[in-house]
Amino acid sequence: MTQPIYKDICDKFRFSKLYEKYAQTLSNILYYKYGDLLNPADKVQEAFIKLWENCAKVSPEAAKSFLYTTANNMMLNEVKHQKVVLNYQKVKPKDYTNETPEFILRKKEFLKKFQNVLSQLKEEERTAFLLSKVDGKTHKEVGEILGITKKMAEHRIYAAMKTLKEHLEELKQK
Amino acid sequence: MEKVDLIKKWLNNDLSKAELEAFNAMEDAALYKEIVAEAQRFSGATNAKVPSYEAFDKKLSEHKNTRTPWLKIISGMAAVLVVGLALFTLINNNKTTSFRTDLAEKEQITLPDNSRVDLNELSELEFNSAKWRDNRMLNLKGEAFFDVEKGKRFDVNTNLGTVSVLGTEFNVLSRDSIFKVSCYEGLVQVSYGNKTIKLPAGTEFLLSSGTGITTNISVAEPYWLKNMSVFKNAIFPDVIKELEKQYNIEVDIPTDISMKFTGAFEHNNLDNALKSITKPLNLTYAILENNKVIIRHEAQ
Repeated sequence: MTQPIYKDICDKFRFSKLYEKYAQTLSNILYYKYGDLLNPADKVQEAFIKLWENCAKVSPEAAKSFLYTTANNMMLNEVKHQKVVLNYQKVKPKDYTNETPEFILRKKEFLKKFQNVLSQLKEEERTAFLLSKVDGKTHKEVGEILGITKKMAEHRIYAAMKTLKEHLEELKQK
Repeated sequence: MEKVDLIKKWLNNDLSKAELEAFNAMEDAALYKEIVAEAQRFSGATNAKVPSYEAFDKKLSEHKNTRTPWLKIISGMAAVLVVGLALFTLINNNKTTSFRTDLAEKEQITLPDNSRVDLNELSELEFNSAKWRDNRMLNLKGEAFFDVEKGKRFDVNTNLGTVSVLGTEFNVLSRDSIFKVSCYEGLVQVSYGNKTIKLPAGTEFLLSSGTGITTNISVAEPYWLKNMSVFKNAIFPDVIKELEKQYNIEVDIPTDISMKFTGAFEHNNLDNALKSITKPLNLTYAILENNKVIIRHEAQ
């Protein structure tokens, strides 16, 4: 049986490694799940502060799930009455090479619609899809993060893609 | 291969070369690619970016301090209170309370320790109300009667001398070059120049041209408190001066009057007062308009 070298994460160096490893990932998951109205990045930091306060009680192995549960619960406490809104990076002209006004306009419409559909997706589908296609997680990794099987992850990602495609088809590029 | 499986495999970046070609040949391939490409705009790394650990660390140490915010709040409030109080006393310390009576005007003043002061006309009284409990000291110009409550040393400063007491009733008159202290109750200490004398109850001290005389008091309370002016062997113009002050009038008298006056006049009735002054000296009077009075020898 392997014994962890450290029993807790109460030193700043180890804590900082934990932060660098999980903070952004956790923030992404919360953002994909609940949108940005509830400040996922703030929740993540609050969760880390809680972890630091309880560092003696939380084993290094449990730290990740402690963070996830804490941040998720903070979200859930507020999420009830909030509408999910995911923001997108606004279109800048230099984002595309062939920048005719019509093209930019279509892109803007496309993104607006995209945002709409994304917000209305089932939470678990949206989260799986964005974790996979934006954060570049494999289906297996997505399954691990969300506590589901690889097959379920695949299904959710596909379902999200299907819905997005159906709604965005009318704005298809000619 | 089924279209759905192809897409699923593409979604997992799991396509072989041949399968990729098949996917690209699909009508909707471009749209799928666009969706994934544009999805990057929703990245949590840009829209829900957490600060660097260095920035977070600062927050963490700040948070530690805010774990006991009550202490901070209370000490903050206390600090404000202390500063406010200090400022208040500082401002208040420089604040002196002063009273001033005009011609034919009297005022009764109650000091912070309930000592009573009766201020006669044309007098000024000044004291520091904030410091009163520590330092019972007041400045007097003119005349005042004091009924002092028991307590610390009570000082009345005048231009000509200082009167100190320990709970008593006394009268101080300090006008022009007259300095007169009458003690009606208790014991009064009078300092003038380098000298200090103790004045027991029922005695009166008069300072005239540098020398002090102690005599017995003929009346039990200062005459002006009873709304009377009492004179003993006073020269007539002095009596008239007092009358003019009390009634705020102008009196014209014959220049050749050399008689001394012993007696009193009241402050509430000019007619009676004039009678009291003129009758004993065989004089007559007439009250004119404009607050003027003429006194003449009675016609033989």
